[in-house]
Amino acid sequence: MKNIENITSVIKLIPLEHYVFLSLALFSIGVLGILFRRNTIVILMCIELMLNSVNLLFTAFSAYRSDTQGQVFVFFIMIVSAVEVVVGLSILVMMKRNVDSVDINLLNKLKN
Amino acid sequence: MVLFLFVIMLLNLNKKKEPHKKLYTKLTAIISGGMLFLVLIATAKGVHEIPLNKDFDSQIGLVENFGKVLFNEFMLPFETSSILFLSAIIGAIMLGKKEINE
Repeated sequence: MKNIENITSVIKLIPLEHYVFLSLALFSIGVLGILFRRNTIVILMCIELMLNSVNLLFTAFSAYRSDTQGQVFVFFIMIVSAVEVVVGLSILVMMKRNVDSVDINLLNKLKN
Repeated sequence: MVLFLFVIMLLNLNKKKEPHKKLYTKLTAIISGGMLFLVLIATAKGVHEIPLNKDFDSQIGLVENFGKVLFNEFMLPFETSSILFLSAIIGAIMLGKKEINE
């Protein structure tokens, strides 16, 4: 119990804005990665990065407001991201099998 | 799952044929990313601060308290997510297995 109290007092030394800025930076990196990279694995990782930046924000606000519901939201976001990665990776495997590449530019067959 | 993806990326199996972007594209990416970051920060600056709770409770992240909230208020979403998981497993197997006539 004593240790946990210590940890929280250390956490409270960091102002909330720092968490917000870190999370915004992670989110922009994720957006840019999705827009500029062509490798599907990297794009999946960038989606994860964006989800996790939102998770960080949720956790920070939840800890500062002493409100458990934010952490429950984080839990559900993690569930959804796990499901998304499962389906995304299996689509990736199919793509590799069919066109022998993970380049997203080859996936324009739905156009026209 | 992030670790799994990270390991795949670290393996970096096609180092030779990986295309490298032009300097122009990299510069554009950095500039537009910085601008996006600035816009987001400007948005965050406009938000007024919430005062901290007076009755600060450091125990909310513990498994006990978290579980109480999760299994009382959020029971239905929790159980629904198991259906989501089941459908994801089935979908992954359907997508991942080879076709019979292949």
